[in-house]
Amino acid sequence: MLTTTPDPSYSRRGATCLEEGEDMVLTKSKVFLIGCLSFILGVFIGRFINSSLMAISAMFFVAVATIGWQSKVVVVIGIAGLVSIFGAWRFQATYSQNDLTQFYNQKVAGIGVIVGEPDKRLDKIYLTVGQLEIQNQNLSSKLLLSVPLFPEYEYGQRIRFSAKIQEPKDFDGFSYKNYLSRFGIDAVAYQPKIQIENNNSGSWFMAHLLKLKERFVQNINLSLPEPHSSFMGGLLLGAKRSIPQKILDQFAATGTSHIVAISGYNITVIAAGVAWALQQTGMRKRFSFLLAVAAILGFVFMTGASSAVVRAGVMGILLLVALNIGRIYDVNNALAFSAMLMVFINPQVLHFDIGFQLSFAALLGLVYFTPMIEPYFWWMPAILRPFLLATLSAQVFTLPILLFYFGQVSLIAPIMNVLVLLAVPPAMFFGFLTGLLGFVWIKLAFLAAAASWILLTYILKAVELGSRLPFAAVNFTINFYVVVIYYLGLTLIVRRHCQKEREIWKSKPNNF
Amino acid sequence: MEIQTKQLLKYLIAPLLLVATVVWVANFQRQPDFLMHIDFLDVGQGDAIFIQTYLGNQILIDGGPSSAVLAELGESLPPMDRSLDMVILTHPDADHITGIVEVLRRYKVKKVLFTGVKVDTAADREFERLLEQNHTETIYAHQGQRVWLDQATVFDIYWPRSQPIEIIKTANDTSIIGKLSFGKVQILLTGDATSRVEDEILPLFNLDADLLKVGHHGSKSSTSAEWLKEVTPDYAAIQVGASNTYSHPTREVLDRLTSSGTRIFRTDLDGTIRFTSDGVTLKEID
Repeated sequence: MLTTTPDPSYSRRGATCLEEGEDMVLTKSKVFLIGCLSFILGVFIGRFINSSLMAISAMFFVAVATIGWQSKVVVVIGIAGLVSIFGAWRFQATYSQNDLTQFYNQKVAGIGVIVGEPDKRLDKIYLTVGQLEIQNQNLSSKLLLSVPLFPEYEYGQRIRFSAKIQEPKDFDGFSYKNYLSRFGIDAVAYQPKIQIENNNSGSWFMAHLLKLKERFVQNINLSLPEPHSSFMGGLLLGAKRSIPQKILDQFAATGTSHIVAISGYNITVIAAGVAWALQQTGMRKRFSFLLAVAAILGFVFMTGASSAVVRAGVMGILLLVALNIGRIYDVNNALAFSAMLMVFINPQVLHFDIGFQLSFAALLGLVYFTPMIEPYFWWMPAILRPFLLATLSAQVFTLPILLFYFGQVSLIAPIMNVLVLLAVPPAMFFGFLTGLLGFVWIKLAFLAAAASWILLTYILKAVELGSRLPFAAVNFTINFYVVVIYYLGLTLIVRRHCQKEREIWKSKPNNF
Repeated sequence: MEIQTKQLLKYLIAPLLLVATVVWVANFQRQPDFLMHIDFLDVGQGDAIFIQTYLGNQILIDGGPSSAVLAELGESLPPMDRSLDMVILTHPDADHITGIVEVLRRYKVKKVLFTGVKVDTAADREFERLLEQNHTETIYAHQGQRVWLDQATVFDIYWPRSQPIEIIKTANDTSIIGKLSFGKVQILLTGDATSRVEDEILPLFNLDADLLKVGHHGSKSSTSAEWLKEVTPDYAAIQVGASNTYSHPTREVLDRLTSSGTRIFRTDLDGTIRFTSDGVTLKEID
């Protein structure tokens, strides 16, 4: 069997805790951590405050830092406050950048370039059009065009279009506008008239990457029937858009949706697979780890390096670092820094990207919670243990987000995940092989496809049966304050556990 | 040495065994069960019918408006079967041709039976391009033609008349209409043709059938009372999408069918409708 996340060798239980510096001493790394967290907090608050409040508090923090310049703690507080305000400003600056408002509900003609991979659904295609030029104005917002399956369009085409531009409508409490805005898309248009101007207005590199990806997916599509091929696309590339809704609902009801979304998980599985394969050849662990990281980077590029994939890649690498390298230096800082970086690049993910919130919460769970609960699961077979531990930790850490946004939680998720996740790595392996062999000879790919077919059928059947169980999922919604209280509680529990671990560690005389 | 053997067993032999099992299961399932299967696939607002003859030939009639037909085909075909013996396109409107294009891309299709009517849409152009690229054998349908689907199954074509076919307003009236016969069991397939065409066919052929695919998704302009009087179906299958914008199927057609004592199946309510036949009787299976 391939080993997957997290690596079953949890010999360094509680290691995350031990790395922390002494309490109450402001080491450099602590200041760094505070800085990162303040920025994230600032972006979070940015949605709820206005600019005059920001200006006043900025002055306040400057004053605090100046007056108390002799005390390091006070200066840090002052700077942290300023960093927060910078975060809030950064959020507001990107949020209000919408220059398509003037055209809402108007029929306009314009020119633009298809700047992303066409998002092919079962019955339509979505095109993201950027570098817009409407009525002699160059716009920075992007436009989402909904077009029929045929004719087909490609990344990098410059198109002339005429369409009625509309504000994205919200439905069922789901803000489509906010969802799109984090991709920089501020308007939608249905059934536009389109004329292709030229084919090469995108980046040459990206166009070729997408071509390669398309060929890879095509190899899978030729070898596997639906819905298996779409499912495989979801597993390998996170391209879940063409999976029938019925099956997506079943995944949701069994708490297994994450395996078909592009997440740190899929990526880590691939990386773990690569690392494992290399170790079989007798390569040293550290070296194979580096190659696994290289594999992640390769994967990120192969799948078109969209922001979701980049994020998943970062998380996958973080998880590898946190779980697979012998000693852990400053896991807290690495996590906080990468979160800060992602939020800095696109502040809107913090508020509007549920995927970001879920994967980060799950990552925190894997890093902090798994070592805590591991001692209680010694009785489980070693091959199943990592799956259950990972699922439980992720579940505990993502629960409030799931309840807050979807109002649904799967009660059978832990069992289903253990049952299903076991088959995922080999299925992905054979699927990957299918895609690669297809470049050589499609009949060869067929053999690998046959093996993955059985595994995929098993997963699909298990999920289908699971979703039919009574009480598979219950509906329950919580409000924002409960979410905050829940996470504060979790933080306290993790901290207390860490302190305990540290005391045990210190009390043992023969540690070193 | 021993470890190596173990590794080999684990990582090479086991997967290969798995492959072997698949091939075996697939082959086993491929064996025809000597029943004809007719599946009216649930593809939303559009037509897609899958037929497996009693000797195992597989035919797809129309592909529906989206790629949804692929998942349905995956379920109707034996596992890992990547070929179809024939694809029939009744007429090139979007709700019939769109799914066919994806099918032509992913499956090896041996023959295509269609009218040759061109509507100059992007999907139609892509369809023609794929036929050319794959060197698919094409057959143009015309009145009076008999297509042998296997030794005991025939498809008699009642419409369209003959080449060249004119489009009047829409392509609907160029639809292939025909009767599928296996032993004593007869199934009338209608595409989207309206009563204008029905009236022309009425005097020419014996239309009596056990199962009727209701024309044009149950639109009131098809399936006239006279038509039903000739067809006298026991069962009727209507392929429609749930809460579609055309309000198909119409009350009129449903009433006509009910008053003639026909049992109605609808893809919007029943999902995919599956029939089997041994050549004597026709059975709906759940």
